[in-house]
Amino acid sequence: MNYQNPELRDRLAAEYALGTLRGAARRRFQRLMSEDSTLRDLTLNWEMRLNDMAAIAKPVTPRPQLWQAIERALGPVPRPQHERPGLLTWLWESLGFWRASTFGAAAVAAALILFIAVGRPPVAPESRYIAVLIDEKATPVLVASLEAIDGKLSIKSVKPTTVAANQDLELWLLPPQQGAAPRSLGVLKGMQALVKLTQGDANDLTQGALAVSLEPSGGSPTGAPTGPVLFSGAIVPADFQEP
Amino acid sequence: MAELSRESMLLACAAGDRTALNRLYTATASHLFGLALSILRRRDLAEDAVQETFLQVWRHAGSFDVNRGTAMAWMARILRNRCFDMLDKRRREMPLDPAFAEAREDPGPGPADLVAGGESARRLHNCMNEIEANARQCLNLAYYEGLTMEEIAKRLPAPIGTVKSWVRRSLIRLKGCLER
Repeated sequence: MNYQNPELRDRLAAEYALGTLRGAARRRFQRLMSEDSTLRDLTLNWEMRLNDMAAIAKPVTPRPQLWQAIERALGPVPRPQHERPGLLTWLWESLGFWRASTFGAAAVAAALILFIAVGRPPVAPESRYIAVLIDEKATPVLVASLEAIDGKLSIKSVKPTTVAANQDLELWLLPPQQGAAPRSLGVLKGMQALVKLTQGDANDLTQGALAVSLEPSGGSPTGAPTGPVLFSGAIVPADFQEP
Repeated sequence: MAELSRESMLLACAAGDRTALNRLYTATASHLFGLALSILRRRDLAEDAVQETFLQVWRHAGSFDVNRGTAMAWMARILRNRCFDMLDKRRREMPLDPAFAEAREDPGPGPADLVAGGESARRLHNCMNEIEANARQCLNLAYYEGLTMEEIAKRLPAPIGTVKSWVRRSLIRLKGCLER
């Protein structure tokens, strides 16, 4: 067979992905792929296309022992993870914690101001806020400061971070409202950045938090974080006032 | 707790987040197990295939590329390859589990399955629906039950040459529809 024929290549790739190439034919095709990166790529396209059928496969609940067997096979969780939950869980739970404790008072204060200052643009009582974004080892990576009045958010890197050429770091505002989705503040390039926030975003940020996720080059294709959250931190008033 | 996409969970796995793997398992295991079961037709083997799949998912999560497709497709690809390795090794001489003796008429998804499948799966399903019924049944038997062309011909029944041309033509139509 002439394996350079584009139609034959496409047909074999599709049938391999569908699963009808089996036994010796399947092994022969796998050998061909191992020596031919464009054939590999063509086949992967077919596989990623057809395997969406799995999302609508008839579900059958496996025995609970199956997950336990997987956990056993993975071995013990590395030490640091014993002491804290996973990064994502930790982020969301700590956001809840900030809301509930540190920012409870600030939230009440802001709500009071809002209540009193009806008809005026809602502005938080303090004008300057700072945040330290830390990684999963609690090492500070970025420092952010916000001028709440004009919405200027400046970001400085305190620990250089490198990402692969096909990836970018994306900055997110985690709003304080229950159930509100993270909002993109843009892709971070270089050691510092200045972002002009809308008044609404600036107000939300004064009671929310910032997070940075790893995304495909150019930022999340979906408008929501798709990659792991690498750094995060709550924002606090920088002007400490006498009680 | 925020609702996270399966893609986010998979990307968190790549960063070494074990709780994300657990959440990904919760979100996908029943579909993957159902698929493995309909291909392998034995619970013990299907459990082995799903276990092996999640170990691979954990080890290779970093190679998942969100631009090339969904997390579910990426995981199902690993699972089905594992199933076919197992089948090729055992050459289908495994006894059938009596629970799976009653073959389904059409192994394709029902309307309820579509709701949870996500945008990408819905699109694929719509394209599948544009294919004529006989050819679509061939694709469903091949995908969900892992049947070869010969096995599909026997199951329908239909001449092998007809099955082959149905499958080939419908794959081309499917590709055209998905690229629209």
